[in-house]
Amino acid sequence: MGKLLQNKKAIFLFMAPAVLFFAVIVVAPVFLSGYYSLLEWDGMGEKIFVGFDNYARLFTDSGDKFLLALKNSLMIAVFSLLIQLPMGMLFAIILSNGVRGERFFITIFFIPVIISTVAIGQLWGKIYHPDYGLLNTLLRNVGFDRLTRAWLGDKETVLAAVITPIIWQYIGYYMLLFYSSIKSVSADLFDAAKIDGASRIQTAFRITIPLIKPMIKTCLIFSLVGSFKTYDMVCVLTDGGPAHASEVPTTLMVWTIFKRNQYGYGSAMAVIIVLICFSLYLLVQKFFKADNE
Amino acid sequence: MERRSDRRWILQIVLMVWAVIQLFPLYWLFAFSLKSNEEIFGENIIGLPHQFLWKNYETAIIGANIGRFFINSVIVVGCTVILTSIISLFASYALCRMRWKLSKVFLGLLMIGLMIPMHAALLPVMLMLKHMNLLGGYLSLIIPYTAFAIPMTLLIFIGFLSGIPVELEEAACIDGCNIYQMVFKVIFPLMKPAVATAGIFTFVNCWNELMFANTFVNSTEYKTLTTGIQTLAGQYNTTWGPIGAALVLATFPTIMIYILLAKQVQKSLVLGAVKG
Amino acid sequence: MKKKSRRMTAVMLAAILGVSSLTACSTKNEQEGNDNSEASDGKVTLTVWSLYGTNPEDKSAAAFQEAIKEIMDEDSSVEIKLDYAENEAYKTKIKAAVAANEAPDIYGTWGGGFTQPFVEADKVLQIDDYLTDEINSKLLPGVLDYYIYDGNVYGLPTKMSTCHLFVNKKIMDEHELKLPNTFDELVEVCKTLREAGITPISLGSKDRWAIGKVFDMMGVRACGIEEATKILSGKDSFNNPDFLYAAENFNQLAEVGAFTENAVALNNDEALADFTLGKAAMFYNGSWSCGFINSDTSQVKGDVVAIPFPEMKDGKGTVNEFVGGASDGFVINKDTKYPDKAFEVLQKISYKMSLKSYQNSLDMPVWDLGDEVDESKIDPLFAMIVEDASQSTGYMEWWDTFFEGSAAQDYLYALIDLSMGEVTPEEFCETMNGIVQ
Repeated sequence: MGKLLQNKKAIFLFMAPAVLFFAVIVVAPVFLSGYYSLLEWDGMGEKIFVGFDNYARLFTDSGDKFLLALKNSLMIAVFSLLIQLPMGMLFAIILSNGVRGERFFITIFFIPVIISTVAIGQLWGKIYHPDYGLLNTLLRNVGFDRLTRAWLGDKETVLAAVITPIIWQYIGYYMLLFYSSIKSVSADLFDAAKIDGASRIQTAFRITIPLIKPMIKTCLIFSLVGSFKTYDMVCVLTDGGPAHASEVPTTLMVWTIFKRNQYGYGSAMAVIIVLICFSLYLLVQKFFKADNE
Repeated sequence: MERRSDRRWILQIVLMVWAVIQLFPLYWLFAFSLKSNEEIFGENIIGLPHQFLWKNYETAIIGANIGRFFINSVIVVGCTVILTSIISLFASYALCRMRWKLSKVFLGLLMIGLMIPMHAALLPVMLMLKHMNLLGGYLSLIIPYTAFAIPMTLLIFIGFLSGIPVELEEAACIDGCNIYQMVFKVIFPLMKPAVATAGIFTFVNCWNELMFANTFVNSTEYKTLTTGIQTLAGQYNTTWGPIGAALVLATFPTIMIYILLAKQVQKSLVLGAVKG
Repeated sequence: MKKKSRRMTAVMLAAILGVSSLTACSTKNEQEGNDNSEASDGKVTLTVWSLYGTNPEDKSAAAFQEAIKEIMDEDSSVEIKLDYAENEAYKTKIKAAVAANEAPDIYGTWGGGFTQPFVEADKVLQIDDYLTDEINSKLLPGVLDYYIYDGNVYGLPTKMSTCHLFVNKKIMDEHELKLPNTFDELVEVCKTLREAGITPISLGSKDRWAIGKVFDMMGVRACGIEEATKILSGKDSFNNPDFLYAAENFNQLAEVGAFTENAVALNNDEALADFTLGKAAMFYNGSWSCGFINSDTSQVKGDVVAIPFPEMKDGKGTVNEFVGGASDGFVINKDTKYPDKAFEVLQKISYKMSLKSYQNSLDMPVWDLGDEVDESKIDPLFAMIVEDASQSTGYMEWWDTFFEGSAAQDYLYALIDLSMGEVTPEEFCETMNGIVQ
């Protein structure tokens, strides 16, 4: 068995296609962005080498809001860890436990993931609209007039207003991953637990969650990396506004590269985003490794 | 016993309420697709349209060239899903099960594809495709889509693989299988639910992708649905109804495919459940 | 063992590089992408990109498609291949394509700051030699201004645009208000309307260009075109009392609640809908809004008049000065294989788009159209704008295209801050100084 799994030729053959795609498509952006980030360049004209000036500017120029954008995406990450993943897990556990209409619910709960963010964003725009929005109408009807506000136009509330749909839209995503993972684990183990007389909650914590640890790790990586790469929903709802209050690193980067024509500076942002995501990835790997030992 | 069934009812109600919330966007999008700007922006934001503008669908089908672009989207996304699944199946096995020194390093490297902000990759990927003379056709989308879908698929596959007990492979090994037979006969059938699950995600991501589709393809022969839908927006003002109509036309097939694949997930999960 | 695995990796990497360079060679000639090709029948194929798609409801797009079809019908030696994208997506697409030397033969762009980097990177064909006296005499005076860089012409515009103040006469009459002729009157009108619970001026500044249009105009009313141009090109300071006057007046409007409450949370379509639903009394926007204001679903159809933005008491500008002008247009790729043919097509696109945009009551022409227009079909609201524009003594470019990329963005953001009361007019001027230097 051991010998079989060390078959170099097989490893090479199995890995080659994936690595090929990686080398052809993914490597270029990494290296080129790294190179561009050292330039002052508008994307097509003269390239001026400026060393690490762009990076220094990222962290010192408060007018450029990169630190604020990082903080905002950190908030997204925190909320997806605290709300999105647990809710996905909860639904997965409940539904995998044999509820009536299991198939129906699994299908329905995933639907927001399928609908294009453009449409979802439009819908949430209607929910938040200051005059006729659903949220303000609701507040007025129950007598909380004082709480009504322009949720997307108010610097105080815009971040929360943007994070909510981001978190909500992808609950179904994690639910499906957890659900299929639970389902692929042997049913015998659950039966055994039932005979033991363990309660549902006990079963979940003692058996289900430990068994699907690899998938939890995967989902953690997705949600952390996803948080720092969030773009679509923010773009549709606020485009980083008002006055940069809901800016995330990617919206700021797109604005810098394509609107302000500062390709070099924008590339420095891209490099930082990759570095942060990669560190988070390593952190999760390390955390689970330590946990296994 | 009675309390138990009470609780069961409460659970059912909670699930139903959540289901209504999750279904609401679908209903809303449909109503939206039949309205005028005046209804969309103020008069009637969530109700059924006062005046059903079926004409929006006509505008959408002609304006966004739905027929042709739909086929293009199916070709591009279909190839991407198949290619990604096959490549990732092999790679995930090598990375997760096989023993070689640099597996962790390679996994880490491949994950970089997950982390690059797509917008920063736009120009470099375009330059690469240009050098390979691939710009403009289906391949100009299939190749980058596959490259960027591999990391996610790999992670999902590895998540599944780690949950499959090694005993099955050991048994196969004792039966005298070589590595290839083992992978094809033992592992791949077990991975069906994983393939369907990851396939759904890849499908959804690529189906809605806009920026690459918009930039790498320069002729109506190869354009995909999302770019077509987007051009329904005007330079300064936009009539939103037809965009809603186009989104409905683009979303429903996705839901169909999802239901189909989800069924596959269910079926293979029941059939293939690993007896540990 | 160790050695072996290292060699393995090396082989793998070599294979990757080998394969990727192999594909580079082998697939050559397979696809010609945007390359021009002269077919055996002597037909010249030109690629043209624009933001005009196939949406039959979008009048500009329909006009463009028609124009292209006519050009091909008139000249059988030319075959035009079109591509298009939505406004924002188009801007990304064309920038990436120009940067990667993949731009088409002819492409839509905007004069001033947007095209400037293309010209500076030497990617655009200079067209001075093609502009014969005959052509020049048919072009309206000054329309090439935004396509002149360093004294050379690089493109042809398709249409003239300008913004006007659309006023709902019915609402004004209900509140016994007169059309504002001066800025002070406008402020009073806004105050009265706000007290009556009606939004005076509908504005959706989530689309940042929309707020830009308002301030561009106020800047020109306060400073006059000549001085404003000086200030914006950095030849005079933004602390100039006239510019400060513009900022103060803008601030005053914001303070009396002239604009839609929470305008930053709304986009331009929402603001326009507020106006067409009769919820707001005024709307300051481009002539392209006429079609929407007088559309069948609009509830203010026929109730609206268009007037120029009122004069300011101490302002140096007159009511006949406008912002806008001939910015939307097309340029030719310097690498095109058929510059002569490309220019021919460019000129036809420019002329035909001018004609059709005008005939469809969208924008004003840049060419002398002679008697080719059926004036009876012009929308009456649009006709008012045309009438005012015919009195014009000068145009200044939209400021967000006057500036190049980063300054344009910083200007719009500074303006949002001013509108939200985050900065004082003085601070705004100071910020503008920092932006333009």
